[in-house]
This record gives sequence, C-alpha cells and structure tokens, in this order.
Amino acid sequence: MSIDMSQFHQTYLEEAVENLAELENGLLALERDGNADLNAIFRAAHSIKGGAATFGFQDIADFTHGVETVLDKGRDLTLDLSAEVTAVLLRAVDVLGELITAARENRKATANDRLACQQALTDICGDGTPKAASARKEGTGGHKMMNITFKPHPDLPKTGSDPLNILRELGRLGEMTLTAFPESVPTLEELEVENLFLWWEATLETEHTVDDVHDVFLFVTDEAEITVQVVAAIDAAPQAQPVEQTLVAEPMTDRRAPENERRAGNDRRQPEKAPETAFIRVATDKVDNLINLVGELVTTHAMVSQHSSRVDADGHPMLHSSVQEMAHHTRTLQEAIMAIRMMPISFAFSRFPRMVRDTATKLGKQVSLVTHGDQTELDKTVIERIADPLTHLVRNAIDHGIEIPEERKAHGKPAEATVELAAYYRGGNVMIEVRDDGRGLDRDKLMKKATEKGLAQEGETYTDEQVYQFIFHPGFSTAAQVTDVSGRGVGMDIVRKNIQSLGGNISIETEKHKGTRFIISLPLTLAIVDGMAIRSGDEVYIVPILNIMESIKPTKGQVKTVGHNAEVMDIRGSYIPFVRLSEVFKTEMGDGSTRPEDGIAMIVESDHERIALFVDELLGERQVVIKSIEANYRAIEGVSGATILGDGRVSFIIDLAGIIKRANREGLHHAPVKPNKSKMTEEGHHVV
Amino acid sequence: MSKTILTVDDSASIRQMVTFTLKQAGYTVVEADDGSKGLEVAKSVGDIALVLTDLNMPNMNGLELIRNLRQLPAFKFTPILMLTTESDETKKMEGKQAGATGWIVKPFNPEQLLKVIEKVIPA
Repeated sequence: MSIDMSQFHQTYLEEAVENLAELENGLLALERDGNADLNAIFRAAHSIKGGAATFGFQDIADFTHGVETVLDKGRDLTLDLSAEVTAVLLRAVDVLGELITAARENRKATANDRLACQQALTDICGDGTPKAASARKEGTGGHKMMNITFKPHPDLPKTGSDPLNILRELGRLGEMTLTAFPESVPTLEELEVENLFLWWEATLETEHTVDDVHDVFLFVTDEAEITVQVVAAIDAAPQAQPVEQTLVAEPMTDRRAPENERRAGNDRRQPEKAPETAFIRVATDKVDNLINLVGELVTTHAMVSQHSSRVDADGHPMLHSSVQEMAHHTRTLQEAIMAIRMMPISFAFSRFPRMVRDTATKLGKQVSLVTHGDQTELDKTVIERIADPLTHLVRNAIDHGIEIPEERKAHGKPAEATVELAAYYRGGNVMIEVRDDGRGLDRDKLMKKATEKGLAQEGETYTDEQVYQFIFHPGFSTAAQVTDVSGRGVGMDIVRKNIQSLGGNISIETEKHKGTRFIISLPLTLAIVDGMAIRSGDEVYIVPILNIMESIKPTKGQVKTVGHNAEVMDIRGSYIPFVRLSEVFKTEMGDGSTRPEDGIAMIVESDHERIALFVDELLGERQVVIKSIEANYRAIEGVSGATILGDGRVSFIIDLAGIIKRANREGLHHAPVKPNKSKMTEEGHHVV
Repeated sequence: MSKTILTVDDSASIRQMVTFTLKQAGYTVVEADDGSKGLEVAKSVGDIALVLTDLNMPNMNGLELIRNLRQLPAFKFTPILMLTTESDETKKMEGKQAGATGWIVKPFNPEQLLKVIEKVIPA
C-alpha cells in the first residue's frame, strides 16, 4: 500500500513560500538588529526541509539542509551568525525561492548561484564549527550533570498530560535521580483528587543538550514551572570527580512508581545544592497578587488616616501615633514587595557588548562599550520593555553618532569611540543614559530637514531643545544615505513612544564634535505613581509629580488673553498656554471663581511641551496605586488610570501628554466664554 | 489489542496520510471530517487512546471539539493533540486552554507524527 504524495504538493509548496518569507524576514531582522528569534528562523527552514523530504522535493530538501545546519549552529551558539554568514544565508533564500517557484511551475530550476551558495554554506560549517564549538561548548553535547525542577500546576492533568509519562521520557535521556516533594499535597478532606500537588527535582547525568531536556517538557511549559540547569560538565572518567559522585550516589531508574518517588522525597539525605539555597522560585502571578494586595492596603490606610484625622487628637493620642506608625509600616511593606519584582539592569545591558561589536565591525568603526550602574534595579516589566528602545539608541549612536576612525583622528579624537550605557537613581526614578563621543547632532542639518518636512517654519526661531526634539518625529531621518544598520527614520518616534508608555520620558543633550547623550527617565515601577492631588471644581485628580515643574499662584494680569480668546501665562518673560482643567474635562466649575488669581497654575511638562494647568487647589502629595481604566472600561485621552482616594472616591490620574494633545487639538487654552453649565458632557467622565 | 486513535480533519488528503502512517505503525484508526462528527465518533467508540485534531474545520472547529471532549468523563484525561502551524502561537495557547495536551506542527512527516504520538502515549 502506498499513498500518492503528489496530491499534497500544492499545499506544501504554498507553505514553503510562506516559510521562506518568514526565513527571509528573520534573517533581515537578524542582520538589521543583530537580534532575532533564531528558533523561529530555524523552524522555518526546518519546515521547508521536512515537507520537501516528505513530498519528494529532494533538491529543496538537500539544499535547505545546508541552510538548516548553519542556522542550527547559530542557534546553539556554536557558530557566530556574522554579517558574512547572514549574507550567504540570504543568498540561499534566493536560491530556495527559485527552487520552490520551479517546482510550482513544474519546470527545472535554473542553477545560477545554487552550487556556489551550497559550497559557501558547507564552508561556513566546515571551518566555522570546530573552533567556535570548543570555545562555547557549555550546554551543548558532552557528558554533563543537570539539575531539573518540574513543578506542574495543580490542573496539569486537565490537559491530558501524564506527569509520570514526562518523567519517564526525561529518564530516558540519561542516568536520573528523582526526588518528589509532597509538601503541598493537601489533607484528604481538601484534596481535589484530579489535581496534582507533587513536584519533582531531578538530577540527570546525560549526553543530551539543555534543549533536548526542554523538549521533553514541550507540551507542559505553560502548565508547569520548569528549570534546567547544567551543574557540571563531566569528563570521560567521572570517577575522578568526587563531587558528581555524591550527586549520583543513589542512581534511581526512571521506571519507578510515583509511590517510590514520594518516599524518596521524604528521604532528605541528598546533599543541598549550595547555589540554589539562596533563592526560591516564585510564580510571578503570586508576586503580582501581593503587589495588588499591598496596594489595597495602602488605600485602606489612607482611608483610616483620613477618618482618624477627624478624631480629636488630644483625646486619642495613641490612635494618631499608631496610624502614623501604620503608615510607616505600610510604606516599608510596599517597598519590600516591590523589591521582589526588581531586577538589575544588567539583564538589559548584557546584550550590548556583542551587538556593539557586530554593528561597529559592519560599519567599519572602532567602538568600545562601557557600562555604569549595572546593578541598578528596576521593575522586571520595565526592564523587558526598555531593552528594545535602548538597542535602537545604541545602534543609532554607532551608525549616526560615531564617525569613522579617519574622521575622528582629523578632529583630534582617538580612533576608538566610546559608547556608554549608564543607569542610576534620581528621586523616584531610574535614569538610563546612552552616551557617545561622536559628532553630535547637527543643528543646522536638523533645521534644514525639519523645514523640508514642514515641521519647522522658515524665519521662526527655535530653541536647541526644540530642534533636537524633531528627531523623535515619525519619518525623520537625517542620514544622507540610508544604511542597512539604521537610518530609515522609523525608530526614534517608536523609541519615544515606548518610553512614554512606561511612564518615562527622554531628552537629548548634544555638542558638536563632542558627542550626544540620550537621557531616559523611568519610573521604578508601573504599579504606583507619586502624584499631586489637586481639586478642580468638585473633582479631585492626581497629577504625576514627574511632570510638575512648579506651581504658581497667578498674579493679576499674569494670564493674558490673546487672539481668539486663547489664554497664555507669562512665566518670567516667556508665554506658555494656559489650560483650564475644568475646560478639558468640561466639568462643573462649582460656585468658585474662574479668575486665575483665585486658583493655582501648575507648570507642567510633557514631551518638552510646557503648559500652565489651571486648577482650583493643591491638596498635597500622594503615592497612589494605579488601577487601569482601559482594562475595565476603555482608554480615555488625558487619563492614564484611576485610583481610590482615602475617602473612597475615585480619582483620575492625569496623563499630561494626552491633556496637551487635547488642548492643542481642541484649542482649549482659551478663556471660558460663558461658564456653560452642561455637566459631564465629556464621555468617560464619572466612569464608576 | 492495538490502541485506537481518532483523527479529525476536514482535509481528506491530510486525513489519508495520517491514517496511512498510523496504520503502518500498528494503531487502529477512526476518522471524522469535522468536529461535530468527531464528537459523535468519540462518543460511540468510547475507548480511544488519543485524539488527533485539526483546528480549522467547518461545523465544529478543533477548539470546540476539544472543549466538548473534555466534558465527557471518558475523555477527561485522554491525550489530545492538535495540528497547528508554527506561527500559530495564539492557537496553541487557545488549544491548551481548551484542554489540548500538545500539538503537531504542520507540515509534518510520518516520522515526526509518530514521534509526537509516542511522546504522549508511549508504547
């Protein structure tokens, strides 16, 4: 019995085209960013090869094999996927494209580059592998000892995965010692018999790679916590290594029943593994839950504090001192819990040495990377999300900022340029700087470009700051020639957007021939914000402290009406838009006066745009827990979230970038024509 | 007695290839060409060691089939593998949430198919 495979050909070839596109995009990303999902690229090639072999396209399968081999070595880090290698791989993509097209059109493929390219691929593997492999052998191949933990979630069985099955498969990879930990098994009364409460720790002596071990857990990675750690490489004669000997003192085969494993778990004579004891692994949702709870606690404390303030202080001295003490403890507790999510920024910095080297080499520049403050800690989420913007800034610095060695020498600078990454704390923020000692931003060039693009008007004067801000504009690029490293002008606006979405901002300092410095300011965490509580009419809002430059009680005549009722405020000689918060949200102004001198003007800044935000009263600084409106309702422009005040009321947290945008668009910095009494016309107001 | 595998796929060619491969490997195979028929077959056959289902199918798709199967006492812990494409990360997640045990990435060859099957129902 045989099956006519030709009926699958059409499907296969279509898929091959898709996979080829994925392969190509991945390679381009790799070449562009020095960073791409190598597994995805590999899988694309792997799928092309797999299908080709199945359906009898031997030429495609053979050729793809060479591509796959190179990618596999790149993925294993046994081969450096340098620019040269990537270039060959891209050539191979073209060859494959022709082979697939020929198969679709049922004709013979034109040979062209095929043989040369195949040879190039073979050469890469041939002389690239051995030396690189020996240098970075750890984790691949060789006899080694691994520590593996497998902590299934209680509901693992609900997806039909049998943990015993998985452990057996693991045992087949080598010599395994298995320990089961039964401490989270509940009492019989509380036991959900269809749930799983055991977890396991395995010591595996194996020839397989870490990837092979992860493959065993392929289907349960989301339903279990799995860690695989290479503890030691073992030489050909393991007897000579007493340490490993103790670890495998009681080799236990994988075929034992769970009862035996459970008993082994009670038998704690196994040696403690020193590096492990300092840490416990905790699921992130447990930490997030803690953060949430402590947020509620902070809110509750604010309520207690507010209520107790109404109680006579002399009559109840103990009440007041204990409320104060509670404030202290709550704050300490909050900081301690936040600290759990904190990671050193070195996690983000660590990717740069390689990237800087590759980018500089590609561009024929000499660059050394210096990092400062690697141990500066910030929230894990912030670190994950800042890595891409940083990458972009560093790449830009090398591509646009740093001159070629000859040019540097001509300006009396050392041929080798320096790019610095620095992180440090300032107040409640973490500052990250990307500095280079390159040519600096060219103000004239930027102006010229900005005028061309219609961003700047001829004849107007702009401050340096304003000019430098142009580079954050979408589609703005001053590179005379677009290089393949950067220069498509599609990045800086994204960089700024990403940083702003983290509640941070970015500024630039630059000096011609001296260099450029990008300064990023980020909040320590995304869960709380230091804000100023303000009153506008009957509403209380929170304005992030980060945005507030100063607060002024306007004097008579300091706010002037110009043009069509537009209001501006004179701040030491320069005029800035005067925006009434009550106008922005169209709220009832209460019975209060609308005269500027009866309220407070907060000078606030976002994106280097400054406005005077007019409110009725400042209520004082608060640290507030951010609750998402978007998650519960929908996004509202000008509002970044909500919080619950001490008296239980809901208060909006102002997003100044949004307010400024709205004010500019709607021309809101005008005097109220006639206090219109239409209450709550703004959608989204009074959500709760 | 050989283990019975239910394969559900609206593409006759894929079903044919899967069935061919599985029979060669010594399994008993039952087929269905969409989710609702798959569910009927599952109910009537009962003793099924593994379900292999495509995701995009008319009438009842793979995810619904998985959810429905998990409701049946006899299929509470039965391994269910879905056929998916590599790029479909979200589909994998949805599948797992519906109760799928694992997945087989398309396109696959007979050896890959058997390897994944042996992973969840070892001989």
